[in-house]
Amino acid sequence: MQMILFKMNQQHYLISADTVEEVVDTIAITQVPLAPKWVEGLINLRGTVITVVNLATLIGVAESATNKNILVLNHEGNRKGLLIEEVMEVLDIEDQDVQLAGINSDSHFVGVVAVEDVIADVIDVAKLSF
Amino acid sequence: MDDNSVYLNLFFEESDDNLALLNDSVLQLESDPQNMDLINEIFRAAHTLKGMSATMGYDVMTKITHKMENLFDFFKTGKLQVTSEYISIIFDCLDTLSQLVEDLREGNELQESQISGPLAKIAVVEAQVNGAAPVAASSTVVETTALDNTFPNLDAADVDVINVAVNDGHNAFQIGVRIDPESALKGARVFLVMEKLGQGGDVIVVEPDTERLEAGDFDTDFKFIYVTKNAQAEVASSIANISEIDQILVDPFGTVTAAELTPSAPVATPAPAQSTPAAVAIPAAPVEKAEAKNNHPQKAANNQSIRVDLNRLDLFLNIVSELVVYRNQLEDASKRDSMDDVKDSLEHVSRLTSELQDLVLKIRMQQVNVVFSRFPRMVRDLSQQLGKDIELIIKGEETELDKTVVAELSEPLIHLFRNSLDHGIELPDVREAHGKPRQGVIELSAMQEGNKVHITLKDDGKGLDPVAIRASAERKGINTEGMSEDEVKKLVFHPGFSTSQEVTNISGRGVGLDAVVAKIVELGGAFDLTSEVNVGTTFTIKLPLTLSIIQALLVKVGTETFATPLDVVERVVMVTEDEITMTGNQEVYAFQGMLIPVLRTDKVLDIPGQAIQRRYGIVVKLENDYFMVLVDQLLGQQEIVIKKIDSLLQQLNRYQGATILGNGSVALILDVNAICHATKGGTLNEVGPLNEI
Repeated sequence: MQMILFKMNQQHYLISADTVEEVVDTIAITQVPLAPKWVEGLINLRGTVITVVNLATLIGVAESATNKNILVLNHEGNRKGLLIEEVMEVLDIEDQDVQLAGINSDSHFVGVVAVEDVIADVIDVAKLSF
Repeated sequence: MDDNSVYLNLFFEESDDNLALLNDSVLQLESDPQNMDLINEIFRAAHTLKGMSATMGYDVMTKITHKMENLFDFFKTGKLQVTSEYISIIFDCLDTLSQLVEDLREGNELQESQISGPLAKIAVVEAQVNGAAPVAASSTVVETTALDNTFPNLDAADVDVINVAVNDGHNAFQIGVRIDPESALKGARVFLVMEKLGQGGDVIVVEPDTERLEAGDFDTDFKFIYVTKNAQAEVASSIANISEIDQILVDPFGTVTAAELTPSAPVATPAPAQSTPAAVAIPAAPVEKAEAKNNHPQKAANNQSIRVDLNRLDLFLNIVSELVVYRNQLEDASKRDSMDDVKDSLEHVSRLTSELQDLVLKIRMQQVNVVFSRFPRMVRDLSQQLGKDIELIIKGEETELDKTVVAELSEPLIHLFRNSLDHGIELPDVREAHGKPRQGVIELSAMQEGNKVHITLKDDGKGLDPVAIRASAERKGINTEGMSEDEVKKLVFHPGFSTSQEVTNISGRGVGLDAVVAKIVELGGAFDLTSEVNVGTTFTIKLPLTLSIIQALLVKVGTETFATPLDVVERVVMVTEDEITMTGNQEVYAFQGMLIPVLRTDKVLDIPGQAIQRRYGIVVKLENDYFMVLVDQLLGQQEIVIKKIDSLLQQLNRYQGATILGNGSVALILDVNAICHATKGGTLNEVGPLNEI
């Protein structure tokens, strides 16, 4: 299974590449007053208006100083942008590589993977409630 | 059987059209029974429908259309007088036909039982007619001669060939085929028969000759000798599977001579031919069920097609080709770094883009007639059911609206219609007692006003009685104290509110009118109601011409840019802080002698405001109320494209959508209606506060 490794505030995370349509550099984001805190705003992705969600705020971790990339997700036809600090690389991860799976069933995290010299949390897109 | 699937969509479209035409014309016929042109038109439409269904092999549909056509024929020949009783039977048939088409669309198979109801009714009428005039045979009963499959004058050479083949273990048959006299393409049918048989054997002698057959230059019958290894029954059924074949007569060669054939009786519908015991006769084309299924493998996409005037399409192509020319010029000029040429070409491109934009919007436009055309029928049926006498006047049905709006319009209009028919117009006796004509009038009209379309439904019924509504509201625990009469009338849009004493199956369950308002608001429209006791009620729906491109005012609040739809803007005024007065809990501004509520966008949206003395006040008019929306800066007017936003953000009920500005950034479009009403409290759109009034 291909997964995208990215980092936020010195922490590493993995997300399934299946749901990620593309990775774009952060562009001007228009804020939406009154929207939930984790809604960063709207971007213009080649003529389509997409809502960008701040992943750090959504999953309740410390925010990074800079956010360089937006992952454009397509979850069941619903397109959303996910604001993150920076994409590192794309990795091949086998299911058995995921450790501590299922410990906390209602969290966004579905396990951890030790890749090279870092430990990354695996995020399940389906469990991101937006 | 040939694969019809490619023609399916066309079939559905044309069936829908023809059924709509029939519905309309039959309705007209009821009020104008002597109109021969009308009957002829009906006849043509019914005939087309029959032909189409026969071509597609939908026998059940063909059968009922055929029977219905008989009724029209009775009207035409004067054997029957047009009465509402017969019209009702015809409508019954049309409804059944619509249902059949719907079933086909969904890929269901048609059952004979589906048409038995209307058929039985027609049979009664037919019996009456034929009983009353037994001498005059119905003209649909065609005097026919027996189908002939004999070859009295066969060439010796041909007989030799046949004998050789028979000795070789083949079967030789003499076959007579009668094609449906209604068939439009006899030649094609012959070709199909020949091709089908050609796969399993050889056709030796044909009468009339092949050339005449393929040109369709013959009556209905043709005969041939066929040599094959297949059995008699197989041959017969393979021919019978081809549609529009009336009768088939298959006999082993030489077993039947002309003298043995008995003349068959007149046949009205395909019937087995009389023949010697050796013959196998099969009634016309019983389509195999498996094949019928293959006809509609895909569930037809739900009418997502649109008909476009060819001229518009040609124009479209012209503009696009022109655009290509300027694009090439642009590329060339940019290569040469010639700024002047770039500017020049760009000007053309921008002109063409706006032309394209207009055109595309026009192509998306559809006449409201599409929706309106169903109401005459509905009014007729419901008024009969309710025992009321109602005339329906339709005006401005050629008014055009965006297709998506038109498609969504029918549901709210049906609700309104039912309401007017059921609660609005009184029974004839009651009307007379009130000094009104016995016949009630409902007027449905559409007209364009600026970039809005107004659709009005007006009845001359009993009107909304504020006293009754007030009483009913009190019973339901709604406090109406301090409400004006208009406000009380608008309570009918409150969910769960119904003034009707008893619930009828037409309306009066208390659901409906609130749904109407919700739908209209969803379409970006507004809704108005005026009513006077015993004079009547008028509902007005105001809808935007199109949903995707609007004129907007770009404004700045804090650091953010927003778009405000221009259509609600009355005017923009410069406002200083001391012109705004605080009254109670509401800020107001004196505008044209009225005090109108002031809404500070920064507060409403919770944006850090700027401490500036002069702001811009956008005066908006919503229905009959004025509001002032305060913004920090005015950037100008622009045509914008509305882009959908996430449902999550839509739920905030502050934004209509978003748009992309010239510099590529995104700006939110303020939903002025919702923003103003959110602060007003107790409105049509927002149901909650009603209980607190």
